Amino acid sequence: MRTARFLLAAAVVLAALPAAAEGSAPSYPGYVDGAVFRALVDENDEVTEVNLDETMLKALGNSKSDDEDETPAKELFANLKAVHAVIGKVKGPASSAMTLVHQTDQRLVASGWRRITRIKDETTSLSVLTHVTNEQIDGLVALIFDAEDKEIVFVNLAGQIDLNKLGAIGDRYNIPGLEHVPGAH
Amino acid sequence: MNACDVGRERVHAHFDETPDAAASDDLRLHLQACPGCRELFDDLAVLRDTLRARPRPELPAHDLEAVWERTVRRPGARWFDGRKRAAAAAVLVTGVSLSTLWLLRGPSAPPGPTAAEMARAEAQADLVLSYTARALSATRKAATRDVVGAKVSPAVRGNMPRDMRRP
Repeated sequence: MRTARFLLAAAVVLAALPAAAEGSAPSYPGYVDGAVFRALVDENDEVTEVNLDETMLKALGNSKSDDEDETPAKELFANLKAVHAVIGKVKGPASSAMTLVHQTDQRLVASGWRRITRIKDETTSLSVLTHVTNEQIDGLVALIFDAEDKEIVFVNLAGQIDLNKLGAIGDRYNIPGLEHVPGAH
Repeated sequence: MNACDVGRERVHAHFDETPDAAASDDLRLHLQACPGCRELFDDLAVLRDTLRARPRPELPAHDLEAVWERTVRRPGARWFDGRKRAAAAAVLVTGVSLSTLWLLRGPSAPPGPTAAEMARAEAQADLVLSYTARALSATRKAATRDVVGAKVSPAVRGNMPRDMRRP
């Protein structure tokens, strides 16, 4: 009987090994699946889809560069676990996309995400949300939709995020004042 | 060590190693010269012959059974042997599996992104960061306009840049 139990335990361990070897889908706290936005964009038009995993981000973070302006970005990449983005034009009516952006924003808030901002007027919707664990931001989602040109932007950064570094990155893109973004210290 | 001690050692060695053989020439010469060693030799020869002459009774079956019960068949011994075998089997199987897994994963591990992959990833990351920065910039402008400009103080609002004032 005891021998049988030992063999059963060994079998369980062996059964678990292939699963560990194969890896699994991202399950970081700050990860948000953007599949719904990929399905929304018009494949016949220009689509940009970004999927950077931890290995690639680490490589970007460790890459050498003589440009000091790139240092904050590299430090930001080195601490991220995943970057996902979908940028394109929606194929259906603009109102449907606007509704989806709104619903996604609501769902994230309901599941514990903090909304930094939500700006909405007749033609534009913009939401920025962060996921915080133990007072540390470990996820950021930016949702932007412009109903006039029907362009939608979904961005998700998962991993340790320093908003101060994002503020420093603003200079690189000629966007001043990012160091005063709410949430940055 | 005196000569007699050496002789006694030879007598004992003779009975321990070759009890049935005749004494060697050296030993016989010593026994002729040493009465003490000759007496020891004779005593050991008598003891050997007496022990060999005694009958050898068979061990009773129940005594033999009791010995088996107390040694090989005792519960502790059975538990130890069974557990040990099972644990060794589990450790062996797990060890072989982990080694196989390591061997399979080792060669297939990617060597790292190529220069082209790095360039593409850098461009993609750049794009994502630019959109994120613009979203945060809009956040900052909205916060300044709606929170500071509208709720805090008209004096502050008066000092705001023109593009951030509420219409």
